[in-house]
Parts: sequence; structure tokens; C-alpha cells
Amino acid sequence: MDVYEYIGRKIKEFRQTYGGKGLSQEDLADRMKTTANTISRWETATYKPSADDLLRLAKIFGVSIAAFFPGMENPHLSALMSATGDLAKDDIEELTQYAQFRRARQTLNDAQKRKRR
Amino acid sequence: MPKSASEGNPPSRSSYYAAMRALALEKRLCHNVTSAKIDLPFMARIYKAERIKIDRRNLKGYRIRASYFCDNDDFSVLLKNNMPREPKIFALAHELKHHYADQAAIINGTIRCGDYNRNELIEKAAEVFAAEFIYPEAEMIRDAKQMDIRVGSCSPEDVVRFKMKRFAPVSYTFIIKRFEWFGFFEPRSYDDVQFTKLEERMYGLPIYKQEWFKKSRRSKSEPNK
Repeated sequence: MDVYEYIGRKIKEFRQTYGGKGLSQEDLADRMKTTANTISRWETATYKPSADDLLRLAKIFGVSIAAFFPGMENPHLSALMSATGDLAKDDIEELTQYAQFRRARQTLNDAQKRKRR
Repeated sequence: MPKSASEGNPPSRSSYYAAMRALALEKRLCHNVTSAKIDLPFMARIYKAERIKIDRRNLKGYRIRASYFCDNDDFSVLLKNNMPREPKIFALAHELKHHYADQAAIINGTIRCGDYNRNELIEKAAEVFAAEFIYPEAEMIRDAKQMDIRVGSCSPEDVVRFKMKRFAPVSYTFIIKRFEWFGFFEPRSYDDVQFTKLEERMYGLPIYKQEWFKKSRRSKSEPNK
């Protein structure tokens, strides 16, 4: 299955199960500050959401961005930073989320490159 | 690419810092940097030339200012957006050192994220690199001399006047640390001085703190009220 088809299915699944009652495409569009047409086209993989779109969707659904990708394990934190001391649990959490965002962006870039070939 | 402190035999602290200072000067030349020219768009152009993406986020934690990530030929920096301009510029310069000097060690896992004490030498060297990249010591001494600031003759008002000359986009903390290092005054002698307040007394409130400005911003953001 194409990565965008998988993402589309996950968006639809999270939208329909949101808070036990689900969200309409219009409600989700309002929260995303976009149109219901865009949501619909993301779900059918006609339009391609960016990594930033997926990050915003993940925040609305209360899931990690990794949830939109098949088998995206916890990425290794290959990073160095300017920090004021040892990191707290919250800091590590934010870095992990960012590492997942990076992995998502790389996966989308790779998918687009494959399609262009 | 310069060797990271975590590769091979560890260099002596001072020789490693000296190498990072030299690297900073070399990269300034390479990117045509002059201290007064540095601002956030200028740093963004350097990042673009180095193929490093900048991802700005409002981070809740107060410890992380920026973080450099690299793998699979993909380089990016997570930058804390909710902090003032000068520390942002400094953090971006700090992360450049990791890009130039620590990439291999990050990728092969020799140095790890989050372990500040273990990475202390690498992190301090990045601070040394950033300081020299933004405002080389020799240039700062020359500017201070021009303003007649010398060893043992630097008052808090001189510090404010120096900052207001805007030779480089640096904070009071930066200036104080460097002036202490140059011996212009004894370390910690101005710990109790509130430099921003002193600046306001000497030069007046900055525009963004003035009531009329705040009011006009409020009316722009809430046009119906």
C-alpha cells in the first residue's frame, strides 16, 4: 500500500473514532483551518498532507505523528543540543516527538521521490 | 571535517577550544560574515547554504534552546521559538559547531543526546565556537578600546553604552562574560546590576514597551473591540 493511502486511512480512522463520537470532515477542517474538501482528499490520498499537516492532525487526535506511518518505531535520538543542563522527562519527550516528525518528513520525501522516478 | 572531541584520544581542553575558535573564524570567512551583519535572516541564509533545515517550535521546557539532528544526509535544527532574538542567534551558531565538528560522532552514536555532563567538553566548545563566530574576541577588544573601555575601568553604564552601539547581536550576559574574561572588571562584580533596567533609565523605554505602542498592537489584533 502506498504511504499516502495508509496515511489517508489513518486520518479517517482517527477522525471517525475521535472522542468516542467521531468528528465530521467539516469539524476537523475547522480545527485544521482548512476546507472539508482538503480533508476528504487527504483521506482518499488524492492530496498529499505535509509533515506539518500531520503534526497538527496528530495534536488534534492526541496521538504521535508516528501513528500515521506503518512500523515507525521510536527513532534513535541522533542529536546534540544547546541546553542548560541535564534534560528533564518533558524535554526528552519533546525531542522524541521532533525526531518522529523528522522521520515522518523523510518518509514523505522518499515517497515523493519514488513517485517522480 | 574537524575531529570531534569524542573521536580518538581526547584533546586537551584548551587546544580543543583554540581549534574551535579557529574553525569559527574560518567559517566566518567562508560565509562572508561580519558581526554587525548577523541577524536571524542572515543565520537562516547560512543554514540554507549548509542544507540544514530550521524547525521552529514553541517548546514548553526551559532547558532546550536548540537541538541539532542528523542522519541519512538529512540535517535539521529544532529551535526554541519562544525566546529573545539574541539567544536564538547564539543557539543557531552553537548548533553550527555540531554540524561542522560533531556530525560523524552523532551518527555513529559516540556522543548521545541528553547527557549534558558526559558531553560537557563538546557543549562548552560549541559555546566557544558560537561566541567567536558571532563576535570574535579580537574584534570585541578593538571595539571596547575605541570606546575607552580598559582593564579596571569599566562601569555598568559603559556595558550598556557598549551594547547600545550594536557592534554585534549579543546579550548583556555575553558582554559581561567576555568583559570578565578580558579582565575589564572582576568576575561577578556586576551580578546585582539589572542591565535592562539600567538601559531603560539611560535611554528610555524601548518602543515595544511604550504604552502607545502596546495599545496600537492591541487594537490591531482585536479590531472589533
